[in-house]
Amino acid sequence: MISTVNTVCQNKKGFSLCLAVGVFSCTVLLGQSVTPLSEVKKNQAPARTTELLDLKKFPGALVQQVVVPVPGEIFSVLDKLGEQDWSSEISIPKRKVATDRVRLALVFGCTVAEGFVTVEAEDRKAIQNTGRRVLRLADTLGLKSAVLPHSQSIIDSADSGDWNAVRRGFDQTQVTVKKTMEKMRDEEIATLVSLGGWLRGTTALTRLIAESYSSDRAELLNQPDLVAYFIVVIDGMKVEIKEQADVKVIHEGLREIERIMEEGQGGISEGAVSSIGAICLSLLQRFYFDEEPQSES
Amino acid sequence: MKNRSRRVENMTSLVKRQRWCRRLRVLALCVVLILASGAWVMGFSDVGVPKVLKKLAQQYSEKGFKLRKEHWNGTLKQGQYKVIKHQLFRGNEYWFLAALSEGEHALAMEVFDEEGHAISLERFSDKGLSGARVLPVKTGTYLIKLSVTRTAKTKKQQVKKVKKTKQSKSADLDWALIYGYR
Repeated sequence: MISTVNTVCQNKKGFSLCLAVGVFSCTVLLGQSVTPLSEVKKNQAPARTTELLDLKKFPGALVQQVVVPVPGEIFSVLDKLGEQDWSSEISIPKRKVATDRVRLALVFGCTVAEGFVTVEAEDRKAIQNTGRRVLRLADTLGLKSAVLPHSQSIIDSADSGDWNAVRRGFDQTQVTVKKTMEKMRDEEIATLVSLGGWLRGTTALTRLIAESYSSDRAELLNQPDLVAYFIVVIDGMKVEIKEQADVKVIHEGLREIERIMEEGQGGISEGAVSSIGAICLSLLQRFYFDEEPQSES
Repeated sequence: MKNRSRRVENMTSLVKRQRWCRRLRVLALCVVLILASGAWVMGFSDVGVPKVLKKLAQQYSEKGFKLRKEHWNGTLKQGQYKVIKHQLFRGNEYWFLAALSEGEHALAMEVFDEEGHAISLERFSDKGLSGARVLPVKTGTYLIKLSVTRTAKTKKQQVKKVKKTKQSKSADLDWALIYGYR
């Protein structure tokens, strides 16, 4: 390319031509803008298509068994169903940071979920404490430098009351940790991060549903496929991980939760909500909560 | 004296030419870099969310959708489809957005309930980008189906593209999916 340029450059006309081509390419490339929302709406298909998915071909092309939602996704529905006392749900443990990698991953997921609870409560101090705890855990996992910018962003955004940015910060932290672990071929540990987050989120969810039970609120617990997914993933883990005491107990707990959820396909009863909550709480007391959950705001 | 001034003139023009050459080299390098970055964006070689999808998602973020930082990706061939299982919650509104690494193909997306019925309220598919809006009627598991079809083109364009399409028909195309909720 450079030699061609040298040849062309022997006269100024050639240069002008090159310049024009260069500028044109830049304009074309930079002009590759994304379809704006307004145009997109014009192209949209009519509502309610009649397409039917042939489930017999399933799961040949399955990408991921179930996408695990972030706690914020569930909490946002709960918020729409009425005012919640989120501050009473905050429970930042005083426990020392674990050193066992399995437990550490579970605790990390729980702490990120705790972050989502603190954002819902819009509690600056609790958010900052959680942000710092996330950083300490990331340090123990050897991921301090990757997580530091997110942790700092969480603390700064909490200071300015930008709750959406705080939410994004917690979400990004979890993604960074999971992706880094996947890169290190530590996918099982990455799944435990999601599992920890799900357990902590579900504990908060069941408490809030139980406080003011309604079938609409209880429907949020209709997640049997997600629970089944976690069970299958644990089943497929390396023996040293699935035989770890915490994971073994979680596996049993998940089986029980799955049974309760499947029984409640027609609607999850108040008793079922309490049972699911009690199972999640007992699991978290093993490695996350202090013996007596302490509120901190 | 005359020879000397001619030599000086030649030298000056040589220096000028060299200067132009240097400028042109810099310009060429810039063009190469821009082209390379374009290919990078379209090739999805990045581990993060592709830029083209981030740009698209930005518009939805401005409409109040909270976008997940996580994304899902893989490869697809024309005529193939992939399905992602997703836990959705009644009460939330979702926009699923996906992109292909090649704008010449159309990416079709549809969201199905557990019985296999299509449930998206709005859809679009444009230059390798697609999206679907969903308002789940019940909390549960849903299936997001992604498939690649060839973009409809005029006959003239199709003739021109025959060779290229034959090649890309069997080629694996990168896809990526993100979603937002509100």
